[in-house]
Amino acid sequence: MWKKGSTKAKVPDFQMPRVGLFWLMIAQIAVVLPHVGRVPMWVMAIGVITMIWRVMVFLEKWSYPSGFIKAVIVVVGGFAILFHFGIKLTLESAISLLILGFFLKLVEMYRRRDAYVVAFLSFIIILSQFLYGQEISTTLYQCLAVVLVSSALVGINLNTAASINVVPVKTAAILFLQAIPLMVVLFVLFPRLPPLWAISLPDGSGLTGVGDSMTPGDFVKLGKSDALAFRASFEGEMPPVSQLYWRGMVFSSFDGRGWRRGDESLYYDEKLQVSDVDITRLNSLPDYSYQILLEPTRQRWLYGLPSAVGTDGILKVANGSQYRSSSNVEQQLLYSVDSYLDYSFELRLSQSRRLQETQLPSGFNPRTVSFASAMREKYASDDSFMRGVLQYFRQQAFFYTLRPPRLGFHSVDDFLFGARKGFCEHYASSFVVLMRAAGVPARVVAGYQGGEINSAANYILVHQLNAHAWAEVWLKGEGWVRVDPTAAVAPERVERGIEDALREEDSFLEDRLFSPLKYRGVALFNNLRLRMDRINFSWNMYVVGYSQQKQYEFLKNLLGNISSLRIAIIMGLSSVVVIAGLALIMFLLRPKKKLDVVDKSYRRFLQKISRLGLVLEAGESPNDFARRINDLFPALSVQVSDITELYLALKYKPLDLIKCQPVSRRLQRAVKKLNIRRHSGGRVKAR
Amino acid sequence: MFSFKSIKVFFYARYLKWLRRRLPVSKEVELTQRRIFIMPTKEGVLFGALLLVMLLVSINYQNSMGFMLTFLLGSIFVVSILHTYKNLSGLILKVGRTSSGFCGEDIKFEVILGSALKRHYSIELGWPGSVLKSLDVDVNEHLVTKLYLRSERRGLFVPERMLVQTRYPVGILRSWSWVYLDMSALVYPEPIHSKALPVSISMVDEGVAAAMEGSDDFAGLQNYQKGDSLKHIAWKQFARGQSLHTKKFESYVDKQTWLDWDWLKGIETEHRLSIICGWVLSLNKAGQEYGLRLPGCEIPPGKGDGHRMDVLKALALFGK
Repeated sequence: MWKKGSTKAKVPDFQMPRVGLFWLMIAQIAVVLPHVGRVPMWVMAIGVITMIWRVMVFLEKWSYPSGFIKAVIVVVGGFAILFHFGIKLTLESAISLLILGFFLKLVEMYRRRDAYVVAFLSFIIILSQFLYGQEISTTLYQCLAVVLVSSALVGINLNTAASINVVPVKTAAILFLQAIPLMVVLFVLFPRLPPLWAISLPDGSGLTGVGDSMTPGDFVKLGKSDALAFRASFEGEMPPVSQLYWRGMVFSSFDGRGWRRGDESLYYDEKLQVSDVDITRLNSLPDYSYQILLEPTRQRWLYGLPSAVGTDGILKVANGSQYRSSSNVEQQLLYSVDSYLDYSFELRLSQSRRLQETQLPSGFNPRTVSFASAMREKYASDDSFMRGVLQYFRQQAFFYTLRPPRLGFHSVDDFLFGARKGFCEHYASSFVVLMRAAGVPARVVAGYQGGEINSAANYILVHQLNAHAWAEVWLKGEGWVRVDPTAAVAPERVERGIEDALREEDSFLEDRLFSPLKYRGVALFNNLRLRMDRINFSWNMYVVGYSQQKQYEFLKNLLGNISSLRIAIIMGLSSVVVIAGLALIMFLLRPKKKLDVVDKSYRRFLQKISRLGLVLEAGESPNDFARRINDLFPALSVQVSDITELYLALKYKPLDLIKCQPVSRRLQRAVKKLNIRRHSGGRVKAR
Repeated sequence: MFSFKSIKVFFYARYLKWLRRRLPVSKEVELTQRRIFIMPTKEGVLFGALLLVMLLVSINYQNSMGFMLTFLLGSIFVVSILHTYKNLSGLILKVGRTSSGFCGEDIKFEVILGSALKRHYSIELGWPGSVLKSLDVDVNEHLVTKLYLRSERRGLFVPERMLVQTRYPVGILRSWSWVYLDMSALVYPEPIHSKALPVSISMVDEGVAAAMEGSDDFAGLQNYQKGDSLKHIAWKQFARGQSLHTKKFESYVDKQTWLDWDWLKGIETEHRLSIICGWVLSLNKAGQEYGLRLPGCEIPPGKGDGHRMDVLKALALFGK
């Protein structure tokens, strides 16, 4: 109570310890650095200005900015952020506002508490970084940031007189390391709850991936990206690469230019009483079982090998055998899938569905339409027509390229009869248009094809450059059949991957000189990269992916029967054990109390005297002992009485402690000078 | 009737008694386990709120690293309990010298801080109501700390329990201890100079007491001569440019001055003592001999600092 009064009395002359200010500013820089690029540059500029200002205040060259200036900066800054991000509160605008306030607080640090506020805001900013990514590298960096912010906290608690030093960092590092065991206990055992309310998510403009629709150029863009799409970890055998068609969504609606999804309400037909998924897998074992760790896509699409069934309730099969989750994938998502190779999709096609899957916009691509209908007449069945078209692709001079030329209004006409240079999307699109023009139901499927096998850990890495579009044709009695026209043009794309397919052109990751994927040919480098990815994968699977469900499974294995009481007990017990262990190390295993210098000197004196055969008896006072020595060795009397006197003075006159040091030094010197040998020698002779 | 306040006072008294029993008075105190208390500071409470916010964010974003960070900071909180405690434990406080002073003055108390094992950072030391002194104590150091406390009453000044606290390392926790160091200082009455000395000259040899005008009355200047007391040099005149003069006072060599309690009848005790104290100072300054007569205490006339101390001590402890 009174303490409050005393701190208040200090307020006007509170001077932040120099060492505290130093580490606080270092911590601020470390904390804000990863947000460069996300936060408008002018916010960073204000940060630099406030830092310089604060240093000048510290050097007593400038004074704190006046209230007016601060008010102007706050109002202008607030409006600028509003202007920059718009009225809607997004995570980015919130973070920008936070960082702006965080910088301005720096020139408003009158009280010790203000410094704490800056440090605490730093922790929130560190947390906000994790919403953008939780990779090992990010985590390590943020650990460093936590240590630096803690150093700042230690620094502001040091004496005002302390000079800039590394004591705070050492102390903070010790705190950090000692906190880790308890942190692990809490991380594993603290009950994970489902989200409590809806939240604003990071701006996903930077994300790439297969989209909700397919316009020309989409897949070309993806084909140049080395970003990770997902990893699939197999329990048993892995399928051959050529069979890795990771199915995502189907596009049924063509507007002459691009493809989008069709009207899904048509799938269910009252009369036929069938839905589109017919899988003859009843009572059979799945061909493949695997887990997919999907990078955030901000969409609901999931990927799986057909025909896939979600085994943990996350992957759901939608109409058109498309795979999706119940909400957008905003963070890495881990889901388990079983795949059955023996399947058929939509064995019976209703009339309205047939219309949907043969729809073409009128007035587009007239040459293609007439070409297709003419060609269809040459073949007896849809099946043989389909083969004929593939043959056409194979025989004509089509060229697989990441640098397709621009196409005109009749894009398919231009492609089929003009440029003949295209990426998977062009082949899939034009193939489906050819089919539809001949009245054969066909659709475009988007997803990923292939992947990079990390055989040591039995998982497959699928990058954005594996994005692929292919076609499906509906055949009577078979349902939807996968047809990949790209494979007809560039079989190596499917057999060995995009890198081989683009070898001639040398356009594989041409914009990304330093992409690690580019150096797959260098064995040492590639091994290292795959090893790193394995660590990352484990990190993502077991640490980042430690979700409510994983925790449930883990605890079930650990405890058998899960009840909140059991969890509480085990969490409490392990926390106590961890902290008690730490306390034990800190307090019990500490160094033995050092003997006081005074006692040490006197003990050395007793040791020296013992060589004369004299020992301090139990209960004998130092004075009595000195007298005894005096009687036997009068030559030593001056020195011995001197030592005794000094010792007693130091020992029993606590008020003279101010002079203690010089006196104890005198005692040390006196003991050192005491020469026993001469006398003991005489004694030996006398015997 | 029991009022809420009286209950509070009652419990506070019990608390103080318990504290005194738990932390007895001594010349030297080593801060050990039973003496150290620990609680979060206001910043610590704020830190707790911060952790709660971070936990909510982590839950809502289902962000594992967010949980990790939150739990890490929570663990740092717990670990720093040990550190804040450790920073205070093992600290040794010893009684140092004290000075005496007049009532209303700041009295100096020296406390010697020492440590056998480790360096103690940012130890704050002081009495309730005064500004705490912050210092670092190094291993095997005997750090003499001067603390000042405003004296409010005449007599033997025994300071209250002293507070030793630290917020090191992170400031979110405060560990503290109350220390009763066995120290005291004499507080003399606050001197009152306004009252002229109604001198009673006790002619001891004649047994007659007569009142005269102030014995320290200024009687004129005379030229300075070697050996004259520096105290009596007329600095004012010298400063005005005149040559050195010595102030001449009437002296009563043959008479003895007694400061007698009974002269000031009808005046309240403390006021009386203050007046006498003022006289003592004047007489001492004048270099005169004086004696003191208080009920139950008589100090024969004398002069010099030793005598002055005796007289002041008698005044300080009168009636105590």
